[in-house]
Amino acid sequence: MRKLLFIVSALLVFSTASYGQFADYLKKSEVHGSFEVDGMYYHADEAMGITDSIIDGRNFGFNGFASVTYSLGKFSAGMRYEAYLPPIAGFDPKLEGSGFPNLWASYNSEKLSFTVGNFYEQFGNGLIMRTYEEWTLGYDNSINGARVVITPVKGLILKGVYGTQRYFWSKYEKNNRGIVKGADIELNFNDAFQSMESSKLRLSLGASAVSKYQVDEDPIYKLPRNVASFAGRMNMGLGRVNFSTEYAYKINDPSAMNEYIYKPGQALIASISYSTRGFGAFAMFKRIDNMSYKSDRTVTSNALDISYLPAITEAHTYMLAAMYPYATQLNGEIGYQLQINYKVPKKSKLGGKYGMGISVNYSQVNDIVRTAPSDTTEIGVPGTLGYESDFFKFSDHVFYRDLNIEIDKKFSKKFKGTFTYIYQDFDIATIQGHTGEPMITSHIGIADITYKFTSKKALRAEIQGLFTDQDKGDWAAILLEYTISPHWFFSVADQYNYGNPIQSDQLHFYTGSFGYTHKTSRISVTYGRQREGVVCVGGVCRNVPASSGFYVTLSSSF
Amino acid sequence: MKLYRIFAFMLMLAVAFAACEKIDPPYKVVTDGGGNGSGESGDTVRNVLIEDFTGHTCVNCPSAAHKAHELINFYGQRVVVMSVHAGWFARPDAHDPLFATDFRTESGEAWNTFWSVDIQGNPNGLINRLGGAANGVINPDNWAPVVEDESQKEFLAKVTINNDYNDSNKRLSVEVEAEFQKDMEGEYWLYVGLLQDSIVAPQKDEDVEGGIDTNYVHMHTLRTSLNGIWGEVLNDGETIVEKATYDKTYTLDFEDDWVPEHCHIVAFVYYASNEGLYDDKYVIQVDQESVIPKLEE
Repeated sequence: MRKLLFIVSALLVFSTASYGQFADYLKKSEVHGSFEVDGMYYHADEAMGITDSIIDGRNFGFNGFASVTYSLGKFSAGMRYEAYLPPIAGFDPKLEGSGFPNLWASYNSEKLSFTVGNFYEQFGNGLIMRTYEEWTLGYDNSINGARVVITPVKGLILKGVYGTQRYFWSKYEKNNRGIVKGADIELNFNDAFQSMESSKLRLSLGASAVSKYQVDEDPIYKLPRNVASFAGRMNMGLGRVNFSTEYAYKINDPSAMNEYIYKPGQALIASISYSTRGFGAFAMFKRIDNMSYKSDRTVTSNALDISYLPAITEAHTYMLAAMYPYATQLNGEIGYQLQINYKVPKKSKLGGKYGMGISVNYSQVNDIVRTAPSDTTEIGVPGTLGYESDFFKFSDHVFYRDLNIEIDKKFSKKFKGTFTYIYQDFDIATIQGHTGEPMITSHIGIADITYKFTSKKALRAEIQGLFTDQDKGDWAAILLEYTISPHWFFSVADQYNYGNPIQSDQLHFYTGSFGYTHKTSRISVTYGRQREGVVCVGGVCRNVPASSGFYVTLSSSF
Repeated sequence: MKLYRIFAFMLMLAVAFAACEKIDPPYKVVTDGGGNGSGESGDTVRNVLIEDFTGHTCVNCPSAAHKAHELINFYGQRVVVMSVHAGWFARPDAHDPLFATDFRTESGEAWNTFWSVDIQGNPNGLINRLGGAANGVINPDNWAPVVEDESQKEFLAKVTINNDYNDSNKRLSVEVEAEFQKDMEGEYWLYVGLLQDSIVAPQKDEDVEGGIDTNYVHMHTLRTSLNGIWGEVLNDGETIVEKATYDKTYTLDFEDDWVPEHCHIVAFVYYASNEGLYDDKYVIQVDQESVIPKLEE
């Protein structure tokens, strides 16, 4: 009995002290989070060829996530819950399921940061290492493992990562995919050296190395179990001019993506920009040669990418301008982009009372030139070097060409508009795999006009036209959006494929939607038809099938 | 100076960290058929069945056929390929005379539905029907390691096919014998089908200029079944004793576009679980025989 009394008393004393400590911890703790749910209800639409038998009872699609992060001083931990029950049409069916794909804990001090669990990382521009999550694509290639970031002295950052990548809901098991490891070093001269602190020249150099390990189970091919890649980069600024470049090299990496050829891969990006008041110019060059780099050599879908090779073309957001989006061709492309922005001064003849913005952008991407690796071997034969390629040569085969001119003009305090013309060449056979179909040449015109009734109420109208003799022919589109700031919006839109050569496919793709925003929370409801299309973010794309029905999205953060 | 040392040290560490293996040619393992030296005949070793689900409007399917052909070159007679035209990409197109031919079969369509093949995309395939209905579909880029794995498994049954084709009435008589090599429990089924090589017909192909190969040569094409969609049961669940044999005979009247010289009979024995919808249909042996025996050179 005495023993029991002693234990109870001790516990009381201890718990009182602990409670005080616990309350103190609670005060210092912070919890942040965000969530989003996207729901879709499908119904049959005979005109679009969507029948009840195609829907087959699966009338609902549901994508949802919630992320929570807890932090206390230098320590933080978090988790992410996801559910795809089933995934909304166009998302990879392998996403179906629910659970906690991301769990992590981290310690961050001035000189050391350490993370275990799932994390995202990027070395330089990402040419040999970038893991990221993009909700709109259903894409997540996070690494599950450990990461260390060391800053031994000001201006010098060292990074190391080790782990396996997320592949939908498939847990890593021995040999079911590769293991990724990498290191990166970056030196910012202006921070590291006192003598350069106030220098006009801004300079940073970086280098990284990444390797993947995957067992060789193929009876026919001799496959490298360890595939390494290396990259070096430089950022330099002098006055108004900024120059940035990165080169990457990958050793032999035969895979399903490159049809099991053994040629090393290379990538180079370089950009230069100049800006001054009212004027900006930008030029970029990119060459990619056999640079798909995945932690499973048999995967060909948008998954398990270690490297990230961004598209250098303009990413259009207007409905019809985004109809033919470019996606980076990982097996080889060479291209460039040029952009000039000019602000016509206020009170000039052309600028009028408010001035006028003019932007011209041109981008072009071609195939690289390939020649046979030897007299006896054809180009691209599996189990050979594949081909040889002259580094700076452009092939005659154009993948994509885009010229867009945008004029931004404010006419009065209440009335402003953006007017865009776009010329596009789009090789749909290569970019979207529509083998045999001809290059699509299109002209697109867009007028985006906003009229402000009051400081809170505005009506925006988009009038768009896409004119082409190929694919589905001409389109016209209109959108009207009425906004009552800061809470409400209402919109109606219609995309009409009046030029479709098949008369029964000359359809209207109409939608009506409204939304309500309160602080960081937002709900929107849309009803209508979704045309078949492709959604791209940063050169990674997903195909969206045609659908008809209700779409609800709810998001919030705290 | 200290900074440079750290920089150089970390760079060296990074390079060492990034292990790499450069492969020197030849990049392929050289064999004379029969795989990795475990025999050439299904009389004594396990053969492997590849069911290549394909369609004439599937632009990536020729590359899968190429992979199957590569495996035949590597394993010789030990790999039997069956091209099953089924699903979305195999549908005849009434508006396009190039693709008006219907290569689909009743068996192929039923299998396509059972394993949800075309829903997962074409080309795709089954290897010895491993993995049941839920996990049976295997991407062509993964066929080789799975075939290798299956080829190393125990020799459980021998399948012997004897064909007798009568040219005058275009009738084929087929005798199939399955001889089990050990005592076995469970239910075993036999499927017998007709395959045809060298059918010249249009095929969409991403590697051909214009995207259509009008003279594509279709190989191993499943034409029909001789014993139903799923074949027939051999033992009705009774225990099979070592060296037990099961004999079946069939007749088949040839259609005009079936060229006997280009045809084979394929026969395979598979284990079917007795639960529910026969979720498991694992092939334990397969073999094939020309309809017209090839003349010895």
